Amino acid sequence: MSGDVLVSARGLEVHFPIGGRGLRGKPAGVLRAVDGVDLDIVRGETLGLVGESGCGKSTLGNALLRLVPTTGGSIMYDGTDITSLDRRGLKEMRRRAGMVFQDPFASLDPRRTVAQTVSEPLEVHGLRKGRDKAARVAELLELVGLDAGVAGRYPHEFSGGQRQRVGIARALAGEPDFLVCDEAIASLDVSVQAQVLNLLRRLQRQLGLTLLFISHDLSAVRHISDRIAVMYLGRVVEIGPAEAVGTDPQMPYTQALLSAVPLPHPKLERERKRIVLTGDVPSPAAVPSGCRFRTRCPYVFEPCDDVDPALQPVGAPGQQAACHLHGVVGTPVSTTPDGVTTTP
Amino acid sequence: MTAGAPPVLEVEDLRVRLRTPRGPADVVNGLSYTVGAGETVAVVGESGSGKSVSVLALLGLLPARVATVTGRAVLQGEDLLTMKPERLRQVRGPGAGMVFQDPMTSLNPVLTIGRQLVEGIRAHGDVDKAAARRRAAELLAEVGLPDPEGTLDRYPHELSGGMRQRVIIAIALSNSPALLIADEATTALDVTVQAQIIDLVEKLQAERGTGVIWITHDLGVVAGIADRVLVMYGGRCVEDGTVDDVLENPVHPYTRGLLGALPDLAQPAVDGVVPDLATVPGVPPAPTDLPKGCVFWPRCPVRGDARCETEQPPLAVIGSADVALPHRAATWCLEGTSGAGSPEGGLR
Repeated sequence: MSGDVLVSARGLEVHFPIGGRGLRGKPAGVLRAVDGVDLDIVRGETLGLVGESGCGKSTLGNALLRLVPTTGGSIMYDGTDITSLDRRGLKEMRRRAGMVFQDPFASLDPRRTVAQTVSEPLEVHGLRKGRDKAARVAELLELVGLDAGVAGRYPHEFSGGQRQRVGIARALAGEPDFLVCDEAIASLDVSVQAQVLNLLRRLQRQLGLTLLFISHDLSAVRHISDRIAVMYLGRVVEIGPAEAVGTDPQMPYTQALLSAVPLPHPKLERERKRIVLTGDVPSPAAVPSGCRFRTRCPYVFEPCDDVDPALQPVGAPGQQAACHLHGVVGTPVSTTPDGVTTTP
Repeated sequence: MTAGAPPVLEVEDLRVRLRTPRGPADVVNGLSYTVGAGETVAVVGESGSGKSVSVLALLGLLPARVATVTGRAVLQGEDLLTMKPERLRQVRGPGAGMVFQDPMTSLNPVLTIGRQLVEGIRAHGDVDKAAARRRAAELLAEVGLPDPEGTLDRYPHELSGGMRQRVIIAIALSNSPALLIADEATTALDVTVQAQIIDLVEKLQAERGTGVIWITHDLGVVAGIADRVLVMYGGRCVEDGTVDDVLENPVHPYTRGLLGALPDLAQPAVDGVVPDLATVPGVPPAPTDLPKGCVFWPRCPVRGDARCETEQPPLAVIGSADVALPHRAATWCLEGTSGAGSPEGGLR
């Protein structure tokens, strides 16, 4: 890793109480959506965040913008700990960090014109007024490849891809330096996905943005990212340069995930060995002790039960994996009778 | 694949016109294909290409008030499109089973898994409740669900997405259909679960010789499972052939655009940078307002022929016609693409 770190999470936790009886009842359990994440996002890079549904990748993205309350750990944003920011500080931080959402049909207000939607951040942060504002909206629309003439139109007049462009223009309005894209291409058709992926790449270079690209689509993530982080059950289990993680993964989970991605090459597909994982992802309310992947891991061995693996450097420079196969590194755990761990 | 044996399904000139507030929409425009026993035909296309409607029409699942379906669709010797509704209902179970996209909504949330399975089994066979329940448990075991007996008494919300999709496949297979139609059956699932489901369908297909129509937009999935591929655009088949022909040597500008637009995990980076994706500009045509000539010409980067705008290109054989599955494409732009070595916009 090189360059300075823009966003840095240490021991980040987002736990939700679940299953309480009545409004005041004590919660029956804890859902560990994000459970001890250490993550550095370097200024100007695109970090891809992948994982299966329920692994906590969206919650992590939300937590980094403080859209969900964190229950532990810290998030440094350009040197400031944002977990303890007051309202004013938070407002400024949110100008500097934007978000592009998954569903372009749900994330735009159907009763507001494109201009109203895109200019809202300008008003909230008091950035532009009057004619300046209209000019800035036109500039933003052109930046994302829309005609400035569409400013007066309503979302229903647009296709999914165009709506996603409007969403990106809105996210860019406050001139952020950090953009979180949460499944931003998931609901688009292949040919439109390509348009939006190319747009994000161009914007990232042109504006020097730092991008967190959250997606379950490994091919897309590999395409757009400089580095890739893989999440499993609330933890980052592997991270490294996109090329290294994409071609030479060191963590058995990443290996299985990659081998399951279907490739559009019939000949390659026939020869390829697929690692089929058995079972489903365990519930984040009952995380296995030790290594959280051990219940599905084909290589499980002794230390996996009782040592919670930490990320350790393996493979290419800058690549890290949390797996005992590369040497037992981590925190020994004390197991409670029901098999649920408590990390000291 | 279809060595002499009659195909399970033979579709000929299938057309579907829907009545919409904006006038008639020609959603499927002359689709012809066959599915042999044990064969997997992948129907590929983007949203609005007519791929789902074309199979809903086959099974009589489109409301007659709005849909006009013409053509022929012969399933095991009987034409589905002229069949009486009662007969069609009998055919749906043992003749053709269907797996829909969304495992969250295609099960009834207030009925147990057991009841939903038993219902299907008893509707098509003279079996008592106890026998049907035993059969249901067998089916659940067959699709790889742990604790099949226990699962029978559980409700859909107690199962994960992958488990639900297995239940739906079990229901679709409960009457050993000759044809299985999977409409985006793995789209809502994670890749690891998708791999499990694909393995399952392939295994069951090999055991029973079921013909499969797999509808998807994911060309990666197609490469892994299909024997034959049919690419749909604007309600027409624009290219078809064996999976190798269509994905390795695509001819139609749309197929090539689609493949070029796909981020490819197998593509090596050049100087640490993966090149930009090729894009297909514009959006697919509205079925109420299809272009007069080639359906793709308004978005086509080639437009190599004066006829593109005015005349519809027929689905013509490319290369050798003397093979079991000729490679065909509906485009005027064959010259200059087929012989030109490695076409840009295709694979790498």
